[in-house]
Amino acid sequence: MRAFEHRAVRSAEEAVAALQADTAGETSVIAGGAELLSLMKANLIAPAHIIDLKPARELRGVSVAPDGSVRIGALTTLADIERDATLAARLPILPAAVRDAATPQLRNMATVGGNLMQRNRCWYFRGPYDCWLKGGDQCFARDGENKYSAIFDESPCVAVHPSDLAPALLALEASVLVVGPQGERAVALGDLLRPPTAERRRETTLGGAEVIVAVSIPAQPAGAHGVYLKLMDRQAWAYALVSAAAQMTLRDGQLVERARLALGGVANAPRRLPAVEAALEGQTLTPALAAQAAEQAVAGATPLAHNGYKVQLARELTRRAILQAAGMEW
Amino acid sequence: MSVTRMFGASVKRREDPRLITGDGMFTDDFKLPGMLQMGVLRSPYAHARITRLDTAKAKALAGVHAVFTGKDLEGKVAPMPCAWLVPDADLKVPSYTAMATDTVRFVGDAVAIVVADDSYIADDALDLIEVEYDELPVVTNQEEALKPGAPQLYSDAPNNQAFHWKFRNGDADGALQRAEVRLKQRFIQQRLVPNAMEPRSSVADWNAGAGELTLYNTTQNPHIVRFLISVTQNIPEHKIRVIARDVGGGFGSKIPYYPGDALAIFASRMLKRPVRWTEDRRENFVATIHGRDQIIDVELGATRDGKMTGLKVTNLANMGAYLSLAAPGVPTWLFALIVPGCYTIQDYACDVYGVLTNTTPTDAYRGAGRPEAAFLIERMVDLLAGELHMDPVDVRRKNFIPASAFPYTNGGTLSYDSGDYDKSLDLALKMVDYEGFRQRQAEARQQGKGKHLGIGLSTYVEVCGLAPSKAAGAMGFQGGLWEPATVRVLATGKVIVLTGTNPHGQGEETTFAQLVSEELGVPVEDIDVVHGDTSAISMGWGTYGSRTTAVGGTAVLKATLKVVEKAKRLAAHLLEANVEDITHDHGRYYVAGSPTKVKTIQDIALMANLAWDMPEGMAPGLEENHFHDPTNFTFPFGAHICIVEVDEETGETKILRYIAVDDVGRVINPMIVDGQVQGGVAQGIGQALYEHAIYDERGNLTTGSMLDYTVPNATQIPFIETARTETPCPHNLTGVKGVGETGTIASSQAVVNAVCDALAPLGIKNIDMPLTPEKVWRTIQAARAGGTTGS
Amino acid sequence: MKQSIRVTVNGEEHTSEVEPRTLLVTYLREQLDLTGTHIGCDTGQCGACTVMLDGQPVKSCMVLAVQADGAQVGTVEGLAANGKYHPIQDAFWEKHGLQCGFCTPGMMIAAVGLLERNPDPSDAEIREQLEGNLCRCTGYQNIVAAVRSAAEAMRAGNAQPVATSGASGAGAAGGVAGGVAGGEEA
Repeated sequence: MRAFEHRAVRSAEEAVAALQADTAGETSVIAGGAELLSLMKANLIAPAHIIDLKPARELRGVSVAPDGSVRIGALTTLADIERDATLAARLPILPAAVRDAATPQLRNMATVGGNLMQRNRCWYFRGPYDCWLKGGDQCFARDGENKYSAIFDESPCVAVHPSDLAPALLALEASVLVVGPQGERAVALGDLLRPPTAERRRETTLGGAEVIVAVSIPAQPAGAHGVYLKLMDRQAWAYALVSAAAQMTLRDGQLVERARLALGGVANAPRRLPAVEAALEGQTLTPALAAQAAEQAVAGATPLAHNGYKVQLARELTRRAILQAAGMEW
Repeated sequence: MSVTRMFGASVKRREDPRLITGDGMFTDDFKLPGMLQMGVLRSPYAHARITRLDTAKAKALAGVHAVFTGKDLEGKVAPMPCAWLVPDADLKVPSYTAMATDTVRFVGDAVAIVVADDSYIADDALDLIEVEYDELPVVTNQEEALKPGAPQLYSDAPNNQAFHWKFRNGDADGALQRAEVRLKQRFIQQRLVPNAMEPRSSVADWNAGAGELTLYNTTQNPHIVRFLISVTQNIPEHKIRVIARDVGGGFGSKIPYYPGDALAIFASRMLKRPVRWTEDRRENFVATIHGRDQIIDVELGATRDGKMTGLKVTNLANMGAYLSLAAPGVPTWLFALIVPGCYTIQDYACDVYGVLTNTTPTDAYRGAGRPEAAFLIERMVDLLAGELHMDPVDVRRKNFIPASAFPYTNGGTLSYDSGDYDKSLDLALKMVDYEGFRQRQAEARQQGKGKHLGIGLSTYVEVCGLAPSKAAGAMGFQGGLWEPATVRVLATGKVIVLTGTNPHGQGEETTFAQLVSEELGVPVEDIDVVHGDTSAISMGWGTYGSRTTAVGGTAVLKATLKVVEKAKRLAAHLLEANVEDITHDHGRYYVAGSPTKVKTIQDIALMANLAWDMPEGMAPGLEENHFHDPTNFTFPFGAHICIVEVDEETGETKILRYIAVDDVGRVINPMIVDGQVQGGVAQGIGQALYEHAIYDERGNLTTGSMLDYTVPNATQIPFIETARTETPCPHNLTGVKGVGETGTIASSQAVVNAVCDALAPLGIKNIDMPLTPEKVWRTIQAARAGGTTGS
Repeated sequence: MKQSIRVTVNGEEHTSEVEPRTLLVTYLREQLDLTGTHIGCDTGQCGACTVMLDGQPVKSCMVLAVQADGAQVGTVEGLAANGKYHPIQDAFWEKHGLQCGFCTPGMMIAAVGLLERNPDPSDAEIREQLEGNLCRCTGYQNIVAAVRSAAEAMRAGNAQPVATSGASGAGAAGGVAGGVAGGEEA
């Protein structure tokens, strides 16, 4: 790792000020450090200045607002989420999502904000290749090693977002609270994590001087059940090959009142499945309907040479997640 | 006072107190005054010519003491040696310099070294070295490399062939021609990365005034390293001391003497200061030897009622870019001779081709040749059973060498010392309730619901306890494989045991103490076993090949018995009796019939060291040594059974039960032996389900970190049920056969046999390791789509 | 440009000058001479470097020393207290939970972290919580047995949380208030 200066700040606003002041763009913000240090050790970034948010204690914690929405501070660790009583009671899909993420030690350090902002794990991106995402001309994964790459083609880059938390938050229709030079704003998670474009060669739309301060989850309907399923090439400490998050609300037995579904590991950003949700809502859930819905989930998939298996996994995990969230045998 | 038997007792380990308090002495823990840190610049290309190498900026960085390149080694450091020169194999040994001079031949090949105040500055300096390369065509697969027109690594190794080694016994061709049933199968032994948890490390301390080198090194064999340094760096052998106090796992990967070690020594000599080098894990992945990587074609002949009659094997072994220290012996001698396994096959032919490619060099990795052998024969037995619609148990029994036939010369001309294969199989089948399982499996298949259940057997025999020195020489191994021991009883009755083996987790600091305690009657806590220091004992051949107890322990026992003999004679003198009248009972010497007039071993030790009253002709002191050269290898054997459940929708395999029945001869410490089996099986399961070192077509190791290469974690290894039968080794005094590698040798095929058994109704006969969910799923898909698959 | 940090390690306060890029594991091994914490990889995968940071196991190769400023750190050297082994050390010795010993310090700290939150874990829970600690020697079986044995001993007796020393009394400093201890999964 190259040498750098380190400064601790007491608030997100201080961090924003530091980012704004650095016109050379050589400042990074550190929360838990799990992602930042891995990027620095791989020589992907070499900031001259690191702003440490650790003293900003008000950014850590889970609280419930009067309207029933749940606010999770950006410095809340994944371990906090795993253990939080409020989340266990109200949004159990979140502890389920992080339980298999990384390892216990990393969950103790890794934060919600850092988890959403993490870069992809594509072997070419993380390695000494001047790939498209890094400003080069070519995406090497398209014709190379693409076993872990996206099966939906939405960008010149085919790397997937590695977060477990994000698909679950997406299924909860979470929004992200951001502080920047213009003050505070809320952005839907689905608008924060977006496929990279030629002008924006990153996985997020966060501004250069912006800092995430919290995630906000709207109150869920009574009787909603959430399930997070994941398949990995190895059983733990690996990014999901594919994951499926399902938040289902059923009435009168098997009638689907509301369905919210998201897939991880299949696209540049976690992928909501609005067409599948629409097909399920108002219907009586049966194994056949779940299988049909699962088929729809992978409609339009364009697998690359080595990741066709993900289509099968996405289909199968969607089917299982729907049925499991509905309390049915899968 | 009651006496506890030590041989066979699960005594708590003497190694543990320092290890559980963080007071272990691993090589990177050593700090010497004035010590500097070395970093290595490695080639990012698999095959290239170095066209420009400019170290000026690196040299100029504050805190950097020196930067060296390949040219600086000329005349000072000889190429890295290969010490297993297999005879009659048209062997070509390419020159392997510690740093490349004009051509790099694998990603990870060393190009330059920097020596700096600390590792952070060393890393900064490495970034400042300017290198330009002209890429050359790359070949990573051994089959491709042998073809005409393939990229050539060396002008003097045409078609990249390093050797062609042959073995013939009887008439395999004839037997196959006459066979009623002929089966052909290709097996891929995928490349593995050993991944000992401690990365490799060297601290080289050159004392210029004395002309002496002290090297702290993570090695399994310090004396071999000492010898190799002496012949490559022009330092006389007696001026070198190699210390390997605590070594964090080896599994074969710490047998070789590596470029990194040679370069640390070179740097220390040049700078006249201690130099420490510790690889990081990414370096370990590319610059520490890899295991396996063999493509094995098998043809088996048998009768229609399941008797195996002939066997032909061709092994294409990927040696990597250079021949590592012991590498040529692994896919040849250590593999071929044990291929017939527990069976009576005599007509057998084996051809092994060692092939050079632009990949990390391969060498011995836990089992070293024997896992590959056991895998192929146990898989062929199951394929034969499938072909003939016979129970795989019955095929095995039909072909086992019967218990009455030992010693038995197998189809590989090895003389198996002792064995009872039916007995261990019987026990394993009973433990798993084989009939009950088959019934449950049949019911599940009828119902057609749920996941696929399968059971896999592996009845193995292996060859270890390396080795009779004569055999070593005959095989081209450039060393002996005898082992010395010294047992030294001090004046206060404490005992020091010196050994040339170097256990690194196998527990001999405890088991050797148990051996000595059993004979001498000295408590285990009063016995210190010293290893890992070339100054401690004259010579030794190290710890690998499951030899430490079988060979080293036998030497210790024999030296101990010499001590007992001398003690008896001194006791007789002190008790004024004849030596024939002396009874020795666990450290108590007395005249038979007068048990109250006792001389303890502590009394005798004191008297021996004071030497006030020695019998005529007896030297003072109480210390004996013994040099033990085994008369044969040893042949542990056993039966492992694995039960799996395969999920058709995801391809995931879950191990429901794993049973290991092993016969490793006599057992000194059952707890330690169980631990070796568990650890060995874990590595075999790793190969079967998870691990694979993969190169892309440019020679990049795409699985170059623990993130991409699956070293199994605690959720991925099942509970392993262990049991034992005991058939002592008849040709060494301890009766011990060795257990360090049996778990790995037995297990991969038990898992694969189980999965293939589970998927047999789909017509699936073989799946290549590792059986990842994706691979299994694809195989199932292909089978459902209407083709049976062979691989 | 070095920075001054104040870190309490095994109950003893240290004031040190470190470069910001110095990893916590390097600081412990090279500056404080606490070589019991090992480096097995450099990218947070193997867990050999696990230490307690404000009462929670973390990978010290993925933490900067400056991030530990003002924090309590517990290493393997701090496990034993008042001349007695911590129950986890006793258990690892008793149950043969180590072979080469390289992964052991990190493994024990991770196990203590688990047991301090979940005093009666099932074998499956033990294995899950040790996912972040790789061992190449044991196959994990005796490690699980050791953790189970330590759990029993700790439920029966009492052991100091690892982040503090014996002298200052119970209670880990810092860390998250509240939170539910890990239990059976839904």
